[in-house]
Amino acid sequence: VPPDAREQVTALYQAHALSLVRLAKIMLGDQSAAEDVVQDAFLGLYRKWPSLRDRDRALGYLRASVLNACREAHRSATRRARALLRAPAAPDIVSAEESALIGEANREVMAALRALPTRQREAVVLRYYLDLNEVQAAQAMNVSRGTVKSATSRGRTALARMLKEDQ
Amino acid sequence: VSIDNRIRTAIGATAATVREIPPLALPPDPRPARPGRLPVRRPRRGWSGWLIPVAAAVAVIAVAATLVAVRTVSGPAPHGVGQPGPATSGVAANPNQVPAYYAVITKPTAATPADLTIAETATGKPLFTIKPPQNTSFGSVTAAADDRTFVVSVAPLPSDLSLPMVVVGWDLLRVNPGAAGYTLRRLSIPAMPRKTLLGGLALSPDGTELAALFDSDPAATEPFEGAATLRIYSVASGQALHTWQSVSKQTLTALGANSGASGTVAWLANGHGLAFVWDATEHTGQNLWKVTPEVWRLDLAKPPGTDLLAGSTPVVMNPTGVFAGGAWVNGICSRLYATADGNGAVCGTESMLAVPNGTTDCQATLPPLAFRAYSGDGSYRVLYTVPSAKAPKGKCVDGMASVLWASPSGSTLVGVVSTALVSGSLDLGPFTSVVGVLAHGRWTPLPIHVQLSQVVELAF
Repeated sequence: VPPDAREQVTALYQAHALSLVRLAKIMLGDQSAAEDVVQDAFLGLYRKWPSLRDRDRALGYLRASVLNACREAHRSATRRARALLRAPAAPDIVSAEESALIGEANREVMAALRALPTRQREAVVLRYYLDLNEVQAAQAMNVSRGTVKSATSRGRTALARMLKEDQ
Repeated sequence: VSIDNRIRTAIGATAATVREIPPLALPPDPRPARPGRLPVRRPRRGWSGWLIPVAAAVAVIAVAATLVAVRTVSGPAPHGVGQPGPATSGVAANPNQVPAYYAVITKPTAATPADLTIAETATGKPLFTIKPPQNTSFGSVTAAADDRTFVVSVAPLPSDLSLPMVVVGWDLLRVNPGAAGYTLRRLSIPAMPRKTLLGGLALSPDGTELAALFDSDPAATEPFEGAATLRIYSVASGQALHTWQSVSKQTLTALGANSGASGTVAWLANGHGLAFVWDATEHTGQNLWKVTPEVWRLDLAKPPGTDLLAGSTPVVMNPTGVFAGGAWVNGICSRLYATADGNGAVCGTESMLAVPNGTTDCQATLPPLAFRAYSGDGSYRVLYTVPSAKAPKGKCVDGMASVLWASPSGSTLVGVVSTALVSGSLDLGPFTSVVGVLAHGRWTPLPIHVQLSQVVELAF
């Protein structure tokens, strides 16, 4: 690892880690797991730093790494979403403080979001939360741009239907 | 409150609950590759492909629509599967028979380029494996109907950040008679224009022309309204014979294909036209699109034009799933496969883990996997329903069915059914894929064993 790797990766962490943990928490619903995912992503970046061809795109690499790790927990997240919908106040899922912060209506949306298939969920979050353009989202998801479009559209449609069903 | 605002507000509120995070913990040794110096981390599950869920993983395979058929059927092959026979040129004698060979392209890494393996469908036995030229990787593959001729796209070695389906060259692969070796030579078909991605690929039944479909400018800034291009090349000369572009505000994309391109375009069995899968995309607002999958047919006998839609006829429109009662009640097509008769499409379905009503009874809630045949009005008939897998208590079964190859009428197809047990913890069950032949409502597994997580294309 070149001498500047530690310094540069640390600088990237200071600049972007918070938003990446937030992204992971949106995907996973659990801050501890989100922090772990992001730590792993930066560690991976540190290891690959010498072979990274385009360091200006390190943030894209980190986003993709975080999403990959979140996919690993995808099934768990889906189960959590089901649990949320069945028992929204489950204390092991959402703390009282957090429940108050997020609000019932928002929690309902988040539960629906986490019930989406992984690709749709990722696409919706990347577009709505990070405001990534199509190319950036495709790079983060490692899919084609058409897939981003399709997944975003389908995810939005499914969310609308789900939330309408619940009203 | 609009749904868009509800989504943004909810996501923003959730993100705002993260207020502080721990500092970065890098290993103390500046040479982290040295054994024993890295901090011990929680082990990852073995199958990295599960990082891509079932739906994505099977899409990554990017199943191929090719028309390899054989003259003879004999021996203990599964029902309807061809056996390798003498080389023939021209159109196969019976295009309804399952191809005798299939091609597998492995998943490349930055250090390891993708290999191409040709194997026997009936036995799963590999015939040979080809390494790509130096500093390149194989990307996609398509086959002619003579059971001997393949065209392989050559891609650059992937970097960590690269997207798949960049094409820097094209190779022609011919399997020698009796499958005794092969010849491989570079075609003079030009590389795809810079910053384009291959979305569809099909070799004509007689192997003389190659149809390639690509997005013209994937790096364009949004809103994207650029044209997609369908081009036919002469295999012999490499010259572009015809070019069409989507001139409307719609974008042509491969439906659900992450990589691989052979399933999106199909030559009609008579060689006089092409069928292609289209994600009709309507820009409905900032960063929002309405996407509708469709199948169109391009008649090459008509006077050649340049407008892809104007020269084509819609075949299957809007074959989407049905969402009711809080769940997808019939699943959606994982991927459409345009049939070579130009009259329809077939697909497998994905079970969709969207279960918003919170039930834990997965078996009763998730729609069963099935293979379907769509006709022109968007209606479909079920060709086969995959028997529901039994899940242990506390677990569910999720999965996806995809079509790998279909006869021109869609009456016979090769598909893959991928399922996995899903539990409530991070401990996910093993991922199982079965490749089989579906004919006359009968599903016959094939002895083809591939690690889907290590494959980018499985082409028949």
